[in-house]
Amino acid sequence: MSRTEALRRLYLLSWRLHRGPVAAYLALTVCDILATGAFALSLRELIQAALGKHLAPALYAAGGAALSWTVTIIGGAARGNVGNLLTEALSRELDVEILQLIGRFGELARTERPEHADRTAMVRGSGEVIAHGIWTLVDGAATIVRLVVVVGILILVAPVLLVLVVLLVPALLLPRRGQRRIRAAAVAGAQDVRLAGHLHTLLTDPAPNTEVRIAGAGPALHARAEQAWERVARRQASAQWAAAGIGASGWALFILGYTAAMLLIVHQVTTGRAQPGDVLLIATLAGTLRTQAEGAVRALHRTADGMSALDAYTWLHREAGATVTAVSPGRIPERLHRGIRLHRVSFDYGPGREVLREVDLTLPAGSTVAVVGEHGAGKTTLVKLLCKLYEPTGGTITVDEVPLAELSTGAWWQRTTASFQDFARFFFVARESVGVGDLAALDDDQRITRAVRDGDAEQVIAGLPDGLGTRLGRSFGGAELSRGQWQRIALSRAAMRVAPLLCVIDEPTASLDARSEYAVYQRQLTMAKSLAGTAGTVTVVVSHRFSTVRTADLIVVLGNGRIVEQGDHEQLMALGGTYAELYRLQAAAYLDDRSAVQ
Amino acid sequence: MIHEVRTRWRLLGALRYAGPRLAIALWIAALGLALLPTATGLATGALISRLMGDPHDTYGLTTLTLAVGALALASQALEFGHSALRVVVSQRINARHRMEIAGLAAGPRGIRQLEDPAVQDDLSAAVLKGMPHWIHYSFGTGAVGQLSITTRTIGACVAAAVLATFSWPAAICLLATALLVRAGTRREWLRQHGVVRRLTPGIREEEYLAEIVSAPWAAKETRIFGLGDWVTSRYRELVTGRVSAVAGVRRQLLRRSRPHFLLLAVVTAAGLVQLVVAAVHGSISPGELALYLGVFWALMAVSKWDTEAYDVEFAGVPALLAADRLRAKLSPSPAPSPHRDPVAPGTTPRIQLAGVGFRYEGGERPVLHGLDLTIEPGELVALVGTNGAGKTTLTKLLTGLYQPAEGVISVGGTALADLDPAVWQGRVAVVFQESTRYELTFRDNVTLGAPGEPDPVLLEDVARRAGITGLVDDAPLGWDTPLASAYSGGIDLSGGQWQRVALARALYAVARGARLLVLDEPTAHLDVRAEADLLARVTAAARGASVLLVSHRLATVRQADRIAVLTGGRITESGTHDQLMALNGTYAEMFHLQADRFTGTDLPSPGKHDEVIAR
Repeated sequence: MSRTEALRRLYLLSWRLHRGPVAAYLALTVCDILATGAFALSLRELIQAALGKHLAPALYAAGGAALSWTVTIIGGAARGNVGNLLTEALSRELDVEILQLIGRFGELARTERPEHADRTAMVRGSGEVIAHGIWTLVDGAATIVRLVVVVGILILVAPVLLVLVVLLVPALLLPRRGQRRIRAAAVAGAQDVRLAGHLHTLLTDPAPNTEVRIAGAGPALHARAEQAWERVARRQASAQWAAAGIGASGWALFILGYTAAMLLIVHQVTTGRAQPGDVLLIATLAGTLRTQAEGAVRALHRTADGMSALDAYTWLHREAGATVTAVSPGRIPERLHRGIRLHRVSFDYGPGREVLREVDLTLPAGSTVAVVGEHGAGKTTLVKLLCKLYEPTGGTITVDEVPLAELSTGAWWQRTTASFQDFARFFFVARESVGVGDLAALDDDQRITRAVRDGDAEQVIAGLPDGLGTRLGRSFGGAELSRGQWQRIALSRAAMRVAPLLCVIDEPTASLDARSEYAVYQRQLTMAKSLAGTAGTVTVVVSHRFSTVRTADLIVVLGNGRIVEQGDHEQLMALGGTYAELYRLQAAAYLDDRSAVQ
Repeated sequence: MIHEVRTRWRLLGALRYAGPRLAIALWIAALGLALLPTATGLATGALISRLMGDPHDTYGLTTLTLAVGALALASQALEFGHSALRVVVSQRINARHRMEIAGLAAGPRGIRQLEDPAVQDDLSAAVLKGMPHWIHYSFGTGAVGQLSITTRTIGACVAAAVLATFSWPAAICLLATALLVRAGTRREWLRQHGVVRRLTPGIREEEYLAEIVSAPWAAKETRIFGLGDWVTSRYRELVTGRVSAVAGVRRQLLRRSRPHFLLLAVVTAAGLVQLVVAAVHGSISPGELALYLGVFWALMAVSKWDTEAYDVEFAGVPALLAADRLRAKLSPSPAPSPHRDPVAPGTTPRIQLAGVGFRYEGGERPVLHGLDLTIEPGELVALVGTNGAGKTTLTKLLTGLYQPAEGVISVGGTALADLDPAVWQGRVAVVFQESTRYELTFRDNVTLGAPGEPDPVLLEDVARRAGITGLVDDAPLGWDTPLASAYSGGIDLSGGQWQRVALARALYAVARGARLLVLDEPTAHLDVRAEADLLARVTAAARGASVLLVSHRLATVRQADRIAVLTGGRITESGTHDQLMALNGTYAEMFHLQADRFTGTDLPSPGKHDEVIAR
């Protein structure tokens, strides 16, 4: 979609949505243009008629001046409000459309690329900027027409006044340089503004302030905040003074021209070649000229903002259009019989940024598989590949011998459930925060209650003022949960699906105390067994805690993107490799007799 | 009414925060701008008058024309100067205001006042925290805006006074109409803005939903659980509700602007007609007509409503009142406790809690009740308990941030209540689970652990002990590297790295005289290898200070000199690991829960452990 196409589409959309306001907006714009010329001409007519002692024309002129002036004042405000009305209506349509387009992005690797993420972040919620830009464009056109009208009248009065128009050029260009300096100062001061804001939070937010108080760091932080503000203020002030100086000098030139023109007209009046009313006309129009010219520049600026948002929007259209789902959707099995297999699976973020190298692995149906390894070993990537959030860059993954790539992504996700280490904290009511794990069962309290039990979140829910009906998230006036409590909500969410083929549990007990850790561990084990019976589910557990890992049917040790060791606990301990070493290290802390560790 | 005028007067008074020179300059610029239209009208009128009366007085005409030009130049220069001054002054005011608010918040009143939701609301209101991005007003622009409104009104009054020499009833009528229309329009726009602002929480909700669909933190779950459409349709519902609510007030405003339009058009026309008739009948000269016309428009211009009213109503006044409330709540108490250090030089005091109880405001039952605990000098005491047992509350009591509701906490024999909390806090160092992350340099992040000039030798020493030397060496600017990538040369640290930095900070404080080190889950973010030897290193570095360790990791806890179990708001067990294991109580059960999974006695008999869980 090109920019012109997008513009055409959006204007038509506006017209379809709100014929009345669109018509009103255009009418008010035309009135405004007419009023600008009418006011200046009426004033001249008024003076001329009064001088000539012609009462009737003078009265008409007075009425014309009063009306056109009122149109400018009140009509301008009304036009602004109709514009807001239109902008809001259109921005609603745009924002919904934008979200739908973003929601269409499937595969995660592409959307995780910084430039993609940046553009997505930019276009999200930009409906208002785009909609505003659309109407500013109309506004800008109107301002230019008004400018032409004013210039036309001036030239009609005295062609020499064309000089004023020429002098507008430096007057308009110079302030832009000043504005650039102000913007540059704002950019240069952004770090200090951020710092000052951060320090303010440290001093006023009880959570960080607790530590600040104990450390006695308050006075030092206060002084730093003061310095940061001082730097911001100084930098901004010097840019402001410079901008004011530059801007004023640009207009000084225009004023000189204006004064010269006045002297000329005054001279012409004394020699009878001009009317006294012309003096008043020029005095009035010089002010109008300035307002209009500045308005035109401003409108251009704002239109530019809108256009760059519009470009991001057309980009989104192209990008979402390029997202294709599986060509020939294979059938998802009702239950797993054989399991999930990885054949020489590799994944990289680009040349030289390999995360997984030619991994061969079989996850038998109905088994619990534990994945361990140090930071950056590729555990998370492996999980994302299984969840079809990433596509392998080499090799294939098969589900009961059907390549995962041939299965519809949406359908695979419907049979997958997961709780991640960096789980999402959904600030919905508790029932929904759990229930979205299976949207079809969002109204099924029984299912939700069962999931809460399976995620060991019963105490969390019982501690909420309205139980499952409690809104979560302090920023929405709801209950705030600790990390451990949030984790249990995430685990409950993952327990919603009835018959998943794949269940991923990533660091299930990182934030839990001894009792919860034990309880969660027991429940996950029971759940994995029961799912294995229902659907042959493969449960994948990623964990640092070796006590959690040891009962898995299969333990996979990843290192540097490869499988270093695999087998069950006894086999790996007998092997005496990485697993055995790390296991002994953790166990030793609990045991008095190290030799007892096996 | 009087109260409102007083508030606005005080808002004007806030201009002094910018310093006398800037404040006076802004006053002059604003007044000048307000009076110049009238002056220009007078000069133009005089010029036309002279043109009609004495067209051959070249000198007089030139002088008057130059005067009109000079006034135009002055108004232009003033306008640029004024717009610069507005920004500079409002920024200065904001800085002073924010520093005052931060000073009140960080002042000697305790952390409990700060945790009061009403105080937090006022803190947000005072600095207009959490405003949507499209709002640019602040306390400073409120004060500056109030000045513009005031001077513009003065300008209109002066114009009216000049016009009164033509006809005082007309002048009064025009001024009244202009001010009436301004007030009416302002009321309508403020009402509209108020509705839009009231819908702001809804906008936050909309933005949150939009974020779920597009932000990385939710990307995995939204895909796997297929939340995109569900969230988007909910989003559409919310936006539609808001947009139609706003559209309602917008239409209302448009309807209500009709009478204003009529009134203004009729009164303006009537005023002009009166002038024209007088001119045609010769009761005023053409020059006077031009003069009065100039003043006429200067007067009527005040009917245009001032957008600065937004700044005043929605930023200036609320921030001013919030600051008043904060001053009342957070100003230092009149009688500060004696500034006495309970710690004799070179010693570590015994810390004793006797019968300590504590209850949060509005809490149903006390968090702590009848708690007894002694920390001997140099002892490493571990505190164990389930989530929410009151461990954090206990640390806040120990550090003097909270005062116990009952019982006594004493340090070296002196009750904490009789001491200046700040002095005792100088003797305490903490490492919290979520330690504070200063967006400052590496050096600051460590040396801010204790007040006073940074000690470079000490810095290197604690860095080595906390294991961050390598981290500092690898950082682009070494010790001067800011710890947030948003700053030039800055880097982001991982959770585990931050925990080490926090540890270094606490060790620095210990080296500078802290005698109690509180470690709250110090190993939560650390990996297996780091966790194993952390405690040994810390205790070695503690140099005889007492250590209170709060942890779920019983493998770490068992190394403590003494372990205290906190349940039901009291210490129920206390002793060494071996003693508590022999006691076979809560601690022993919890320890078995973690340890048995290593020993091969997996899936222990359900009865015993389910009982533990149920507790």
